[in-house]
Amino acid sequence: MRDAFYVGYLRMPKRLRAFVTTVVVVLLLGAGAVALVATTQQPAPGDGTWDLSEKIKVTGTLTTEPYAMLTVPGKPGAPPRQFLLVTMGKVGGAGLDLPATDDAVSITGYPIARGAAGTVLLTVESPEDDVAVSGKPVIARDPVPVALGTATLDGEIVDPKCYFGAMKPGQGKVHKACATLCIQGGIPPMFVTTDADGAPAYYLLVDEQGHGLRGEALHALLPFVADPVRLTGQRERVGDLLRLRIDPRMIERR
Amino acid sequence: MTHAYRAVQWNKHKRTYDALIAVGVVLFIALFVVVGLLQHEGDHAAHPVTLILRATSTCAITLLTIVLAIGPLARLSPRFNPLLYNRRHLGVSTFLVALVHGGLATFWYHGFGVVDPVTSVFTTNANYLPAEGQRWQSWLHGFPYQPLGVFALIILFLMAATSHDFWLKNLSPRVWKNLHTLVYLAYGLIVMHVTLGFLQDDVSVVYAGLLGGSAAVIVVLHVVAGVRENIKEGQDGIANTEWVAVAKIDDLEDAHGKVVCLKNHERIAVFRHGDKVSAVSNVCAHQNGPLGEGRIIDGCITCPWHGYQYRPEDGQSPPPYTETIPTYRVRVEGRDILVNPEALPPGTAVEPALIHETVGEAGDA
Ligand code: FES
Repeated sequence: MRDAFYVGYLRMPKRLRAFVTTVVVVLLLGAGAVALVATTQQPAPGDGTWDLSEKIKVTGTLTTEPYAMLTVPGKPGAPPRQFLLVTMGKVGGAGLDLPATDDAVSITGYPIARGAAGTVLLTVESPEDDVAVSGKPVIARDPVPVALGTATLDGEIVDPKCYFGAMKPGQGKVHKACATLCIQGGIPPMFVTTDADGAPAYYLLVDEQGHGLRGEALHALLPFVADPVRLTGQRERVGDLLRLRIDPRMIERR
Repeated sequence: MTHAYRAVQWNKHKRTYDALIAVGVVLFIALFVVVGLLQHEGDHAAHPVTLILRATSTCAITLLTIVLAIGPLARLSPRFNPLLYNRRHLGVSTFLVALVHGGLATFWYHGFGVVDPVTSVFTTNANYLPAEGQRWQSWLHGFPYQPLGVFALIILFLMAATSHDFWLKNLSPRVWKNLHTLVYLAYGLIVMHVTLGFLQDDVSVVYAGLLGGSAAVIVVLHVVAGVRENIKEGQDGIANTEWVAVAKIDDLEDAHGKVVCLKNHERIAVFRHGDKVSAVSNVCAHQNGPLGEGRIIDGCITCPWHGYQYRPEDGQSPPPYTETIPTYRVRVEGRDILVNPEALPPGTAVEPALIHETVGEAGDA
């Protein structure tokens, strides 16, 4: 006991010093172990990328319905490709003031791509510099929708910008507010589910008439973003993207 | 102490203590981020910001667990007192690490959008109440967990901002102590923040285990320390009648004290200094440290927590300091030390009782 007395402004007694050193070492090693265990247990966030090192240039037809998109002819035998257009922030393509034209348009942007889905979005930095109307005639017509029947699907509503690569991870509870903010800002809502083979399937969400979700319809959807939900609607394929026509007031929680 | 306030009264121990905190925090975050980057490589890597958010949150909770464990540990064994000595710096560090986490999360998840980030923290997820017909599991799963973290951060800020002795003095030790027990509320909010946030995602049960482990350490240590003190108190409780025998002279080593608990839960520290015996309140005027566990150094009772000093004969800090503590009248009868349980006003001089006889070797034992 006598050896153990300690006052901050005096020398620490020897035996006490040995004890305190041991405790400090144990604490530091314990903290290190916590860091190691916690960091190695992190779930894999998927293989999405948002390549900010180089812009790619894509030429096609501009549409604003259901959302701001560029449609590009596909490879021979493949359906036309559709790129969702978004800004650098949490605001959708409507914020880009895209020109209303039927002529071919070239867009330069940073690609967001994820695994087998390939590039799904282009982020456009400056509408003035990165969007050019070529003046040439249309090179790709709006693809014809192919109806795939009604389905009830379990999954999660995500904002594709974060999900496909801007945030990693860009889904789930921690990301819920961010995803809600993105969709509120006009980034098109997407539904992530699994197909019959267990592979991920992505549906662009539109209203029952096939229009983009805006205003009240969008607000009805927002509380369900990132939560486990069940959607029922008409499936269709438009170009290389799937769409699900839903009534946002009928979204069920699982 | 009283005569002038400096930001921090530095000494070698505090420097070592702070250096260890800084090194520990930097190594913790670096280890977490670097190993996290190596774990899922290339396109599969988590975003560095995500890793920093997770590293800082894990680090802040680890620090807070240590902060909250030190108190009961020191109550269980005074050998932990050196960790208690500068605990406030550990608390301030916890706040700073948590601030990095909160600030970065606000910027990252709530910035760049159509709502200003701070408002967004509270409003973007507005599922505060269950929707009609919603199951409670589903409600909790979607509950806005961010504001819980904000409230915890505000408490940690208040505590860090008032951690200095200036505030201790100006808020009065009682108010200060009450304010600082809010740390338990902050801890509870943080546990909820993680449980309703990160743990709702599809993550390893290891995280629930780590969080539960932290809570278990804190609860068990507090319960054990509390039970031990209650048992002691029950044994020591002495009736507040006139002049009570509190100790045998042979039990008191020179320059040592003994804590005596009266039935009304007042604690008295009885000290032997040479052939004299004095009794003062056991409660240090600084932060209620247990003076009876202190020693007499340079003729003054020295608090085991931060080393505040009081003269045994009048309970006053030596000049230039002005702290005072209550004193008690004391008497020696045969081998018994007797104390009058009526506390005298702080700083009242009391003639020490003299040990005349042949007690001898107790002090050299
Ligand atoms: S409590 Fe701080 S010196 Fe006594």
